[in-house]
Order: sequence, then structure tokens, then C-alpha cells
Amino acid sequence: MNQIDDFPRDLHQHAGAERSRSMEKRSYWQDVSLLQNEYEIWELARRQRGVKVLDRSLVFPTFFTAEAVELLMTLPNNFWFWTVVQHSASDSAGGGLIDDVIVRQTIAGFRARRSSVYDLDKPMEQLSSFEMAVRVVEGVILFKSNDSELPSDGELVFNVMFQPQG
Amino acid sequence: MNQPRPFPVCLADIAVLGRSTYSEYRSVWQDVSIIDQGHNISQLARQERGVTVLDHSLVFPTFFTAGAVELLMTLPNHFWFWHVVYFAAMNSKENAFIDDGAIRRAFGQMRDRLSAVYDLNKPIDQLSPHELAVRVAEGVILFKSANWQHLNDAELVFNVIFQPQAKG
Repeated sequence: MNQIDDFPRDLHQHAGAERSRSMEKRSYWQDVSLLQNEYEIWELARRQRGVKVLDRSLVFPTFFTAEAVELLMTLPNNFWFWTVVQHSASDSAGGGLIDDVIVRQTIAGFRARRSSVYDLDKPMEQLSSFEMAVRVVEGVILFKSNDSELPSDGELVFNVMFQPQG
Repeated sequence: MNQPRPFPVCLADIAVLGRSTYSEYRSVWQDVSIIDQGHNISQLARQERGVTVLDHSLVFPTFFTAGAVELLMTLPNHFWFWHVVYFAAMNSKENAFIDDGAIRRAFGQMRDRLSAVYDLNKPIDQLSPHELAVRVAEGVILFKSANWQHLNDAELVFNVIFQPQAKG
């Protein structure tokens, strides 16, 4: 692999743009495994490796260790995926793959910020309507549905980043 | 005025950008009277009028009638402002001022789309936690607070576009 020392900078920039693009779906569950098929991140990975052909399964391993990729793939939607990638890239020292420790630290940082505002350990069934609404708008609790256009049909689930056992 | 392109097309492009920029605040009340008009729309207004300098107060009246501007200023945040501008621009005729009728039709389209999915007339205090969460996530009901970064202190209010008395 032809690693460029400052690759986190490009990844950070790309993740920031994707984060903005996916902001509207912050409160909706999505399958993030599909992200490796997106052209722009594939192009960034090809450039990073200095190759013309790259299997899609190697897109994220271009930037992250296997454990970090595994962790990223547990994230619940595109917005949170790119938010975590952006912060992890920012926190990375550069010169090597971003590992699961950095990704875990990033997730813990988000959790710590939210838990200073309200009780993340409060079970969903004990939340008032207002408390539920706040958590949904902030993407702490998500709508999970087969049809993201119709959240009224979705069930409410904890974002894995913020769930009590997280 | 020097009008090289139909302005509604350019205005719709600017509105898409504005909508995207403010999508994070879809569910939060903001004062749109202090809306950042931005470089792009100011530039488009100057281009439309064929001038190099234009007072800020004349930017929106370049595209909208006074009645339409007044209606836009009732919108609850920057996301919904640009969302409505986009729909109104897309539905308007070439280079004609966008009037309050076009704005009301945009409101109506948005309201009709959501009222097909759930009951917009149900009062806030009768909504289940799930029903409230759906409406808040979609920006039908908003958090209104002096400090929109602290939602815990906010009250819940209907978005004027969707509030029960907005129908008809």
C-alpha cells in the first residue's frame, strides 16, 4: 500500500462533506455496509493506495484497521458513521491506519457529551414524550424501519453509541 | 434589469444549498428575520437588478412580492425557509415575481404530503411518545427555546406550515 502520511486530512474532509449530506437522516436507522460502494470514498481509497483497480471490500481497510472497520460497521446510519470517521480522522496522529482505540474514544466522547445533558441510562419505556423527542432529534434514539421515508411505521431503537449498555 | 437566466432556476439552486446547510436545525425554532441572506442570493439579486450595490432589505423583494416576503418571514427556521423557497421557485413562472399564492401552495403541498401519513390536527398533548417523536423528527413540531442548543429547556410548538389552523 502506498500510504501517504497525511491521509487523515483527506478522509476528515471527505467525512465532513458526507456528514453534512446525511444530516437529515440523523434520526433514522440505515445499513452502513452499503457505504463501501460509494464512488467518492472508493476513489479516495484508490488514490491513497496508488492503484487503479480496488475491490470495494478494501475501501475502508485503506484507512482503518480490521477491528476499527468492524466497529464502524456497527454504527446505525450514514450520519453517525461519517461523524465518527471525521472525528477519528481528526484525532488520528497520521502515518498509520486508524485503529479501534481511536474509534472507541470518539464514540465515548459523544456519549460523555450527551450524558452530561441527560440520563442516557434511562430505559426507553420510562422516557416522557418530551424526553423521547429530544433523544430522537439528536439521534440518540432512532427510527428503524424498512422504509426510511415513513418513520411513522418504524420502531424506536437506541443508537448503539448511546444505548445504556454502550 | 439584466436577466440572463430565469431567476427561479438560480433561486432554486441557492435554496437547495441553504436547505442542506440548515438541515441540522429542521426541528428547532429560529428567528428567520435575521436570516443570513448569503453571498449567492445577494449576488443573484444584484444580477437580476443589473446593479453592483444593493441594500440587504431589497434582496428578497427582488424575487418575491411584499405579501410573499411577509409570509416567508413567518416561517419557523432557516431550514423551512429555504425548503419553502425551493418549492415556490420550482413552481413559479419564468422571471415573474413569486407571490404569496405560490408560497401558500408550497405550504399546502407539504401539509398534504404529511397529512396523508398521519393526523396533523391531533393536539400535541394527545400525542403518544412515538407520534410526537415522528413529528419532531420531521420538523412538524419544533423545539422553541431562547437557546436552541439546549433542547431540555425548550417548549414544543407546531411548525406554522403544519399547525392545525393552517389548513385551508
